[in-house]
Amino acid sequence: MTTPAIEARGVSKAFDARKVLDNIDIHVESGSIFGFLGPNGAGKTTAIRILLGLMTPDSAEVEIFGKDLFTDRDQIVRQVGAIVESPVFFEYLTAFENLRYLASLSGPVGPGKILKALETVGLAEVADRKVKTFSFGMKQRLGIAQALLPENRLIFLDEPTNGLDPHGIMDMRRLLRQLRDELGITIFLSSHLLVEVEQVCDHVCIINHGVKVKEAKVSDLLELQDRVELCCPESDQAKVLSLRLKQAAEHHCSHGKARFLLAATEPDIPALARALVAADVSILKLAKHKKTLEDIFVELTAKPQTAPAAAGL
Amino acid sequence: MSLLQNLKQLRPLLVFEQVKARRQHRLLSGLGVVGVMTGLCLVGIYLRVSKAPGQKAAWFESILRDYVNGVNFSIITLGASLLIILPMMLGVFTASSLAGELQAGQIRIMALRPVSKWAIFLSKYLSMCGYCFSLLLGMMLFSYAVGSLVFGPSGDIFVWDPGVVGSHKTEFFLKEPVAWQRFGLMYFLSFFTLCSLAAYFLMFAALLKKTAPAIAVPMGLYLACHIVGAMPIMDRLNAYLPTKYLFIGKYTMAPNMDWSLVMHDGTFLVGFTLAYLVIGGIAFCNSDL
Repeated sequence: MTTPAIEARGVSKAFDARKVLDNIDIHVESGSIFGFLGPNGAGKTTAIRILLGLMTPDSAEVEIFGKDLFTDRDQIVRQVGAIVESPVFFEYLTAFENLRYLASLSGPVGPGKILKALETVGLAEVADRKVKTFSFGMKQRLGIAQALLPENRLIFLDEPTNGLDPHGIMDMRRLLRQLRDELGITIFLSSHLLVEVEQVCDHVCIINHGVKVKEAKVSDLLELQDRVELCCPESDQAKVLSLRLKQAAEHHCSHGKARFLLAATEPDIPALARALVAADVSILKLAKHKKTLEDIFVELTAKPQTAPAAAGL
Repeated sequence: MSLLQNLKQLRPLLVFEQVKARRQHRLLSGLGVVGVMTGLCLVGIYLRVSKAPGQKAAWFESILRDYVNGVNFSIITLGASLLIILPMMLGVFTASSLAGELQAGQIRIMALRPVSKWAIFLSKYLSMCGYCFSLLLGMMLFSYAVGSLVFGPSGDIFVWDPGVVGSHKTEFFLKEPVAWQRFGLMYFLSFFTLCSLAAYFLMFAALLKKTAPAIAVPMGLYLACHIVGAMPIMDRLNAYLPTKYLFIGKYTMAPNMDWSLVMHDGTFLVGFTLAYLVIGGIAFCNSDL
């Protein structure tokens, strides 16, 4: 069994009386892309700062690659890189110089390695340009190059696609997959852009108001949330309700159509179809409905409201 | 972390600090200000010693004409810069070096490397000390060169109260070899004055963490201490003010140097400097990045 990249238990932090993180556990497998989700102000950046030893927690046990963060931080940060909040550099230095002098703090690093890192993120051609001339997207990529040096095995990326255009986001996604697949780097990705997380992450942890609300494999999470969607004319709504389908989860009507989400899976569709036909329901649509991570995220992090009218089927 | 490890971390940090200072043209700006000060002092003294013949020159002017040369011109320039100009530059650059980088988040990317916060703090201090050294060296060479070109390279000198560093109110002559010694000593001791000021500004930068307050607050306090300390009605307070022990170079401007006074004030100066560094270091090491 491989040592987990991150094993954090009971991470808590409060600013004055406000609890920002409340007893959070985080487990990240080596070589995976771990999505750390939460709405703005959920405590994502605070958690990252604690995991990097930049902030003192009120309580926490953190092991990175099996080493205790609070006693072996020096050894740990030799293998860990990060962009926290936004990529900040010394703007009056060139991209190459920034990487050279920052990486030199971890030990001697040859120019070849620096150029390789710049090449990986697609900035080799602008290595000698001052960072002040870089666009935000270029700075994000330079931040990743910085996080890769000297030979880091784990990188923390805090909202790396913030401020990027769609092309930039796609490039970033490609880059993250490349880092995991080709270099075996573990990536801890904090974001609230759910499409991005859904597409690149293996595992996901969702926090809200400093409390962990879900942690699972992305595929499992999406699978668990599978539904079958049934649409019929609103006039047939009563017929469907009269079937008292046990799987019915929720329904609503609009524009003369009734839409039901049934807690069923794809193999249940033929039987459902037979029952509906037998009940003389005009089926407009009967298909597998896959919830997106966004749907799940919104459900899990929504502010407490009065429960929506559930179908009493 | 052992002291040895901390010291090992210092080398790349110091190199980095040097590169940053160079690219920000800190030395160039400092030397520019030194140039302006030297120029102003040159014009000021030249106007005093070059009264038109036939005019009744005052005793002071006539003495100056014979006893001003590159050596005391350089000392005068240093004395005129040491109270406000050099501390002001130090304050600005120290605050931007620590508080500015803290505010912008650049310290964070350095702290993500295997270097301790103490090493980062110490490297900033040592780099500022290096800056003070370069600035003083630049001032010494430039002001001496300018002074010797206009007033002559060497000779006996006339010393009078420069009026800015609180020396004893005396006027006397120094023989050429002694003048050279005092010239070297004045610059040497002023280096410690500036190093102490660098520690003072660094402490405030670590405590306040924002550039503007990290310049305004310590500079305001520094000037307030000078003003209060110089007012006769409040002279009893003077003994408790850190500025009292700051200008140890003033003792070189006496007919006979009293080394016990230099040692006395020097001990306090070192004590204050260490206290600034310890307070600043603790504040910086305990701050979340």
